[in-house]
Amino acid sequence: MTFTVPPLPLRTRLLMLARLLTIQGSYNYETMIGNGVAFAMEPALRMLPGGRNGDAYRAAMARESRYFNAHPYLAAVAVGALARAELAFEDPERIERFRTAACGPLGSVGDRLIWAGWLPFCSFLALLAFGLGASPATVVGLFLVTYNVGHVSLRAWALDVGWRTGLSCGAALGGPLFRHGPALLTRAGAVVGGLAVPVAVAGASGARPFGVLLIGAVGAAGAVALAASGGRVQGWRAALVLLTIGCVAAVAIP
Amino acid sequence: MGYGEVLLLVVIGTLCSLDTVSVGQTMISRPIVSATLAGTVLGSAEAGVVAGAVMELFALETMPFGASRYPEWGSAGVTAGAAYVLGGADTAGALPLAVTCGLAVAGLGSASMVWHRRAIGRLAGALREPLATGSAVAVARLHVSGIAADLWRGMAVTAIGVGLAIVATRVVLPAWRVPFGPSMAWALIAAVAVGAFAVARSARSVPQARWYLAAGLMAGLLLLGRR
Repeated sequence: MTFTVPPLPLRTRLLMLARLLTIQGSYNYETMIGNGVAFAMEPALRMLPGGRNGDAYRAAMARESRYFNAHPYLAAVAVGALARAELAFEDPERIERFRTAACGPLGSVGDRLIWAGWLPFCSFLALLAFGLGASPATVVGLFLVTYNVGHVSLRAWALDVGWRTGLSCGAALGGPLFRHGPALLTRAGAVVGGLAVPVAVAGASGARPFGVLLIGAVGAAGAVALAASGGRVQGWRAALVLLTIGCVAAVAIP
Repeated sequence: MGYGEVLLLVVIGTLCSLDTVSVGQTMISRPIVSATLAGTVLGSAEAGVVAGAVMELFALETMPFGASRYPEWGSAGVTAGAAYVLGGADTAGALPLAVTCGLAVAGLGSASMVWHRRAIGRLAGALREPLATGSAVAVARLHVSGIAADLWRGMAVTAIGVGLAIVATRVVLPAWRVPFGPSMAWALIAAVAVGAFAVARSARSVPQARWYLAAGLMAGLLLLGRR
């Protein structure tokens, strides 16, 4: 007997998208986002024969709540693909193999594209707007709108491509966006970042160009020192220690 | 500052904390947003965005990669924004003090996220049997409990942060002895050091990106010279 996968109703799709926004709600060091994957997929699993009380539904929920880890936005690919696989009664061993194999690519591709590319780029854009004298509402609006156009589109696309292609979704991750996007975004971020940092320092301090250059030169020396530590020192922690000492000294000096 | 404003700051900080991991990740948790919101609540969005921009340079260093341990910038931004506005943007020491309070709360937030994840892990262990049998109720319970616990965590961290901002600005700033200019320069130098390190590290990871960085920097300096 063959089972045809039903189309994903709009309401179910929207429910899954809404739940995907909380996919890390039960993030923990044991199962990572595994429970979140099952939670996000659950509306689709209700379409299994027998509905919420069926054996197939319970077996699928048990499988899908096990360990899983991926970038939270691209995890939507896995949620769509696995939901389709469950509804198509794929072999549980094949589903398990997919779950194991998908973690690495969905994590590393998402990390490079979003955390190392898109987010810093949007931050620099906001810092540049701030440095150029944009109003606070413009700075915040520019950052949030730009970032979330990419963010929400990616989640919606990821769920869709996962559902359409099922366990063969790996090819989608070989598309130009994922192959060239991280490098393009890093280069774009480097240009905007180089432009934004001096301008933002001028905007925050109100100092004249010479003052900004002085702050930049000493700051650059600090950056070199951080790089020389080879990752052993986290900059924000070192800054916290130095600034605390500075604050104590500023009130203790006669 | 009245109780209503304190309450509003805690609500905003809680929502920003939740956004860090559990709900949305729409980046309202980034300090450039959360500090500006805190400044707006206290009547000075202009001062809030200054604190937010400086904190954002620190935040560029640590991105939320997987299970790595990273600071929680939502409540930290609210703390820094509140401290800067309460201290007075024209007051000597207000910016370094605000940044120090913000970074301290970022560290507290980081530790609290680890405790939170361990607590969810323990609850997952307690629910192992119903989860293994495919109980949707257990899945939902674990998920909602995780989000609820994160909400309480964010609320507690923000409340501590806002309290720290109030006390620090009242106790430290009246005794501050260093003039305005050098005080502001400390905080900015620290922020530039961390931000520049983050930009350079990112540019080193991709071929030719360092040239793009150099071009951007040149353009930035030219822009600075023309202002």
